[in-house]
Amino acid sequence: MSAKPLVIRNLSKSFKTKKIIEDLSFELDKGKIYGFLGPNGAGKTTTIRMLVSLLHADQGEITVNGFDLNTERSNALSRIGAVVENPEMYNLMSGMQNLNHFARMHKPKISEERINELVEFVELKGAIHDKVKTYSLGMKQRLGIAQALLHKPNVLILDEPTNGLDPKGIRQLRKYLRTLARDEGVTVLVSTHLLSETELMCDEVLIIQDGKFVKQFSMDEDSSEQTVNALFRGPSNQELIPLLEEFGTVEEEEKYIVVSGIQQEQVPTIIQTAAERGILLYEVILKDTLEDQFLELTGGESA
Amino acid sequence: MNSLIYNELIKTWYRNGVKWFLTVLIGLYIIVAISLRFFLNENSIPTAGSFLLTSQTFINGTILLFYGVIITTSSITSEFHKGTIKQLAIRPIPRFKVLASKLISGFISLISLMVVFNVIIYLVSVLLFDASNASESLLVTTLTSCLYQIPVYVFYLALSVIIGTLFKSTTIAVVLFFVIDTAGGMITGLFSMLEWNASYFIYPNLMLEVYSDNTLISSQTMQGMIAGSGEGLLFSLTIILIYSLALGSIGFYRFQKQDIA
Ligand SMILES: Nc1ncnc2c1ncn2[C@@H]1O[C@H](COP(=O)(O)OP(=O)(O)OP(=O)(O)O)[C@@H](O)[C@H]1O
Ligand SMILES: [Mg+2]
Repeated sequence: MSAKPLVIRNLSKSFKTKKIIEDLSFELDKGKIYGFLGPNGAGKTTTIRMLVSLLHADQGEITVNGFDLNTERSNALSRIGAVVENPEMYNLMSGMQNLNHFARMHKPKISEERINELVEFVELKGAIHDKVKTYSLGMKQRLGIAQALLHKPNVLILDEPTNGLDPKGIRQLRKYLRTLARDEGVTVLVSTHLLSETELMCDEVLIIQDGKFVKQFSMDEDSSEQTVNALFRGPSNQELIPLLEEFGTVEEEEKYIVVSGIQQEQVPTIIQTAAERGILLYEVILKDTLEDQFLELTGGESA
Repeated sequence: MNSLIYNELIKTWYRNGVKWFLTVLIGLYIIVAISLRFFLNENSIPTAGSFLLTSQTFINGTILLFYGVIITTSSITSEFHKGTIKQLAIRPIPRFKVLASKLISGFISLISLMVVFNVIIYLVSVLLFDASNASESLLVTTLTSCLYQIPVYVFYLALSVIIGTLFKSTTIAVVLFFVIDTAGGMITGLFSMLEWNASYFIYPNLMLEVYSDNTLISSQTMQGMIAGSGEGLLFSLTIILIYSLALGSIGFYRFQKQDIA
């Protein structure tokens, strides 16, 4: 089957008279991780709910590997795994009982090996027989990911999976998602507000605002071709200014000299030139280009 | 479908504290029975038949019914409250099957509890009380009385489904249960006072015991001055079926269509 893992066309949804999603279209490719971005209230969760048939779209079409979510619901849904907002589980049952419970909702039968494999994958082996109510948020998130993967979906959808995760947890999540995408060809759609994390985790970024599509672009192309802001700091910033002015517009910002709008590849050249001229540097920071872009695209509101 | 029902039964076991319900109720029942048998004045000790039917009326007709309504309603409402409904609704399973599994599991739970309790009720009645001059076979009476109860359970479970899906509230289900249970008799009385025909109203049709020619069972209904619809067993069963189907369909329709947010 060569159909794309997930295709959304002209999706619209209103609550009462308020249009929440308007004519939204996008496509996801196999084995890529997509960051789904947008300011609060942009409609990310609403879109995700439609993708997993919790909400009925007013208009538009969703296909999963070519299966229409409306007319071939079972075929479509058996190719999607998801955690929508919080990973709610049955608290009085153990993690394993929860997994078995959800596993029984799929056909063909999900093997015990598959379940154990996932428990290992999300590193819950030690706690899997404890009641879920004793789990930390991070453990619940991991259990959520395990239950979403039981049936080997082609598309994994996670709504703010980094919520409540500590830095270590976030790094683990990144590792899981990378493994899934690279090794198993799973397409991952992750909504998040953590832009620096998106840069590390995602291959592509999809931005929506006010329920409308804003932009979709690849992260790799972006970091090399797009311009960045570079922040420099040395023992004497005044010495730095003339040098940096040769490369771009210079601004003083607190203890840094900021060169905005330069190519990333120019940065090593700047450092080398500084060294040749005997100008000392403490640090160079390349500023979150995604954040700048995001704010620019969504009109400066914070994410 | 079987695995869905199995899931629901497991969740019921954990959610509704079935273990505690069984322990406490069986314990209390045996204590009450022993107290009646050994501490009551010799002449006022009930016969096995009368103890049996009083127990059945109270346990099958009120306690289990009530518990069954709670089990079934909460199997729907708790998924919404906890948010786990999302995890169910995103599976490649039609929504009506999810709801059907809850209804069927509620019914299975209720019938299983009924079997357990009626075995106990029968044994306690026969072993502790005087069964020597019962007018009917007590075993047959126990079974018959249970059979009359089953259509009533069906109606109340259909009621649970609609309340669970429409109001998402176990409290409303519990209140409605009491309203129907107590107001039903009053409304029926009002109907007959005004000389209206109450036959199509659900309440009198739930009194199926009036159709029994088992003297123990019908004497029980006479005692409580319960007036049935009097239109015949088949008529009452049909009314129960129609009400149940109507309520159930509304619940299923609502569940199938609703946005889960
Ligand atoms: N059930 C609902 N009824 C009415 N309005 C709703 C409902 N659910 C969401 N909305 C509205 O839809 C809009 C989009 O909400 P949504 O939760 O999809 O945003 P989001 O992009 O996920 O935001 P966040 O980043 O805060 O999670 C918001 O304006 C919200 O108020
Ligand atoms: Mg959201």
